[in-house]
Amino acid sequence: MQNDRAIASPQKADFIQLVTFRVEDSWMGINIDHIQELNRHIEPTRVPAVDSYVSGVVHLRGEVVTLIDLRILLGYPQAESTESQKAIVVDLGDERIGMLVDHVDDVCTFSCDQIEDYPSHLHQSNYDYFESIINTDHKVISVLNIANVLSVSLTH
Amino acid sequence: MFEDCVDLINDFVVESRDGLEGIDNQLLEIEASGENIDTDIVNEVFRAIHSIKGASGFLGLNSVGRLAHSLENILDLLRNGHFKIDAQRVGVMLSAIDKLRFLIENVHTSNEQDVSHEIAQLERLTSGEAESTPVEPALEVEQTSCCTHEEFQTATENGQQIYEITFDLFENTQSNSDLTDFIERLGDLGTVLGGYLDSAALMNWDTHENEFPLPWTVSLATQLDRESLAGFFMLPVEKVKSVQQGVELQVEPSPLEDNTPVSEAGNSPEDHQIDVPSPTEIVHKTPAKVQPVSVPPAAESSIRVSVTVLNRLMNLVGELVLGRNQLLQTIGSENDRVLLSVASRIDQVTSEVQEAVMKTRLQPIGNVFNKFTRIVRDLSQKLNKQCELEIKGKDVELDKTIIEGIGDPLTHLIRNAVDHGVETPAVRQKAGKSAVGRIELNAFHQEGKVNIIISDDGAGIDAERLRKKAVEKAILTSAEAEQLSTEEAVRLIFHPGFSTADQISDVSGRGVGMDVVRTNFEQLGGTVDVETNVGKGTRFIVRLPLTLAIIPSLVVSSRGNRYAVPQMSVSELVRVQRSEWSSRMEKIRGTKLLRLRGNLLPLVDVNSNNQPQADGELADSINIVVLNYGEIQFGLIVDALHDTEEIVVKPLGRHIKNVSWLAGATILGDGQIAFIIDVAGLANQKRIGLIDTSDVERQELLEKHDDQETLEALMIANHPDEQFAIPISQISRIEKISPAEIETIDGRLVMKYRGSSLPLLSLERHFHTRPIEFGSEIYIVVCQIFDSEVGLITPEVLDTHGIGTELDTQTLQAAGLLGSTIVNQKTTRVLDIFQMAKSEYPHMIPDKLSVTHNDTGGGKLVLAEDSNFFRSKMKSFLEEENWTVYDFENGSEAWEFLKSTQESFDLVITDIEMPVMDGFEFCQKIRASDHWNHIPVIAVTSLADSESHARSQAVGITEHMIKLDRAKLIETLSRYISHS
Repeated sequence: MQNDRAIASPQKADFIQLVTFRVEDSWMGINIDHIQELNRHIEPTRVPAVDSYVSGVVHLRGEVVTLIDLRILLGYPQAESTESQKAIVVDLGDERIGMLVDHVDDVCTFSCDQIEDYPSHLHQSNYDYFESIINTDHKVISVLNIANVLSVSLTH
Repeated sequence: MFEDCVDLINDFVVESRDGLEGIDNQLLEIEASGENIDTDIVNEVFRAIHSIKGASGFLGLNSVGRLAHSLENILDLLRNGHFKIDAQRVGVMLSAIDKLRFLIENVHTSNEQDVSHEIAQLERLTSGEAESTPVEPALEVEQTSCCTHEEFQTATENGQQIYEITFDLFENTQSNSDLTDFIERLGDLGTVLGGYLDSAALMNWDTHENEFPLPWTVSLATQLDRESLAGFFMLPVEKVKSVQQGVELQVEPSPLEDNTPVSEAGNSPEDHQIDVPSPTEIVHKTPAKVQPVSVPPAAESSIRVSVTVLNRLMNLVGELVLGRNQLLQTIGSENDRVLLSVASRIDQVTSEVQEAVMKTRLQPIGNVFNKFTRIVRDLSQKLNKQCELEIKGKDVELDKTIIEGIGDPLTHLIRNAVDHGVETPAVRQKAGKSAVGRIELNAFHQEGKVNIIISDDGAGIDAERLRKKAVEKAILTSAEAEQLSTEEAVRLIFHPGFSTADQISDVSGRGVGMDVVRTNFEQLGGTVDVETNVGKGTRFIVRLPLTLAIIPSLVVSSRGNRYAVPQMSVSELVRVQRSEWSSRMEKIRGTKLLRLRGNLLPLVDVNSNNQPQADGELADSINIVVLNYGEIQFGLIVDALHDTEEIVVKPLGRHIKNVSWLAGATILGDGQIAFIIDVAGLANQKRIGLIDTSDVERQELLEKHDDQETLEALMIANHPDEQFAIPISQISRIEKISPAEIETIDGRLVMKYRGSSLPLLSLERHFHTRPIEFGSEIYIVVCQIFDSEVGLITPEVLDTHGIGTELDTQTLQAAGLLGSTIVNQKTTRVLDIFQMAKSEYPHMIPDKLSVTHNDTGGGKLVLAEDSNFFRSKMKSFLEEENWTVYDFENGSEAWEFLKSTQESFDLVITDIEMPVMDGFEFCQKIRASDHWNHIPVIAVTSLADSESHARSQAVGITEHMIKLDRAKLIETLSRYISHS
């Protein structure tokens, strides 16, 4: 229960902490509260008969964890795996899911003033996947709505 | 409430729950025993109630205490013989116990509950019987259910919800300057219906000064939702309870029901009208539960573990520590051998620890089943029906989570069986059934799942009526409804908003229910299906996974992935050589089929979906795992077979759950992931069941090769140029041993095997053979001869092969040979293990089996068999056992003989497949005749497939057996002769 709530609404504090990462050329962030760990990319066991964005399952300390390729889910072309690829493991309370990203940058703290609503004209098709954007000096970070990104009904 | 006592109260709840668990059945037992009351049972019930009373007094749970006290009084009278028991009295006691149970599950509000009704009823029972019954004076108890039915109606009509809000009078109102002011603010939110103070807390008020909370409960009708209300008063959400028709709905859904439509009924405002709407509206609504009060366990996070299991765990952990110490020491010394032994020790201990921990989570299903006796009794009394509940498989163990989740849906099915299934005694008798309806609840393991079958012998479900209802309710168009098969039509009951009861009773039939039952089971990873037979009864089949359980599985691989196939479903493994493909593989409309012992086996390939057939055409052979799915068999094509492993089921994530043929995943010994194959899902997904056996093409294909009956035999070789065959029906299994294990004792060959000596047969001793050259390994083909076993030594096992039954019995004759035939261009001698064993170990054949009939000098039987070989062989077996055999070439000849003869016979043996008149027809003729209809008919076939088995039963064949299973045949026959 507690976890569900945490995912639904980010904490009402003055600051939020995001893990920022890159997919293709876009910078994105996930609220650190959702994240269990970062892992180097492990070659997953392929699953037959599933959508292409499910890159497979991996063994994570006794658990079988689904690995989602964020590139494909967000509509970017498939790419060769590289050294800098990382799996961000998020904890949804009832399940842990790994998300494959191209490069993990940093853990950054932002003040809530920096958070803006996600502009509706951007990424029409992926609109539900993001909850807000953060405009920094160097780049624009799109904050992922984890519940939506990993909801099966939305992604199907 | 009593912050310090929270732990104590939780303990109390857990203990009381255990105490009350068996009470229903015990009371029913007391009821059933009538005059001869078993004081032990009464004492047991007494003790349970007594300890609840004692503890409740200590914890200040007054309502619980007073109710328990009244119950205790009656039980005391009962145990001293001053009180007679009958159904009505037991009914009163049971309802008091229900109330007690309710109080305990809602222990924190128990003091607000009114128990005076129950106490008064209990007192009424005793007043006539005992001279004086000491009962505590009943206190005035506050009104609990804070709104009347009318108020509820009005509120609902105005779109309002009724809530009970519990304030701490001291704290919550302190911030508001004035109490009247506060009440006025409440009035702004909606209509205040009433309120009350917790008197128990009031009594403690002055002693604890201001630290003690003073709960003040106000009921309020408002349009606001729960969260906003709580927010408004800055109260935790739990303090605001929604009220429904005077029944207090529990607010916190139990964790199991989380996110289910069921629990939403209590939470989301739009579902609250579920009690009011007309049936047509209900169709599109979220299903709600028929029984609105689902009591969540107050302290459910604890589990009872037997001390034996715990001790075992402790010992194992001790060993593990020891192993670790050894490991640490050995690593330094670089002694590989010791390291290996330590590793294997740790390996073993770990798996034992794992198993023991699993065990702590398993609970017998009887915990759930036991309460149904009571439910069936109460319901049938209420409905004026007579029902008997038979419970089987109480010991089947399931994971705790599942046990907790199946209670509600099973209760629903049982209630349905009594209410809709079983008819009234009058109707039943009219239909020629016994007045007492039978309901059977049966749990058993199958294919790595637990099956629960709920069956009744009631009226059944009328598919036609369901079709009509579906059209009336606009669920289907009439054209769609007509297209449904009977089975599909019956499954309409699982459709949301379907009610079949002509009269809506308060037991069941409110248009919601079966779909919730289905949802509940599906949430536990299970399925539910229904079978019905109008006039005969209905069966619900529930299949549940044993999550967390360990499943013995066969690990296979296909296109780089590994899969675990539950061993329960594996029937055999077949390897087809490349040279055989053209003759054994067929294709009908895209489905591959394998010719296997005269049948066509559909084949599936897990990867055919996402990869075009690279087809193993390059490989020398393909491996096929033959799987059983109910009555259906099919083959799974795999690239390689690995090992069998005990696997632990790990759930798959939400993105993969929809792959219906994957039951989960597991982590293999090497850390890799293997997917677990759900055989049922695979069969459904590949539509195996739809490959019809009556298919014309299929029949043609079958006939093409099936002009001769074949006998499946194991080929063994004594020497590269000399091979033998043993009919499969005679073989139990094959063992691989080293030649050194064979001993010669008293001129006979034996080997140590499973704690005793296994007598061995050697080909050299019986036949002229080339000298056997033993390698480092030899095989023992183990065969069952009556109660003993015998092993045949062979240096090499080749394959199984279908051989024609028209064996040559002339060319090569010897005791122990059935005959000879040509297999793969080689003369092959077909062995008769029975005969070989008989000549070498005569003691294995019990004397009593040789029939000696006083009057006739032996049993007499009629034998119908078209194959000359089988007929003459069987005749000679039987004649050796003193049977007189009249043999015929087909059913028709045998039947003509039976019709005309004056003699009497003990039994009939018939082949199934025969020209002119087959065994089925022959048996039908026998059963239809006046003279022979009672004679036992034994069918012998070369293969026992389930289909012909079912047909055999239908035509009245007494027993079914495999040809050439000589020992079994003789044993069976002797059983019949001793009967006659």
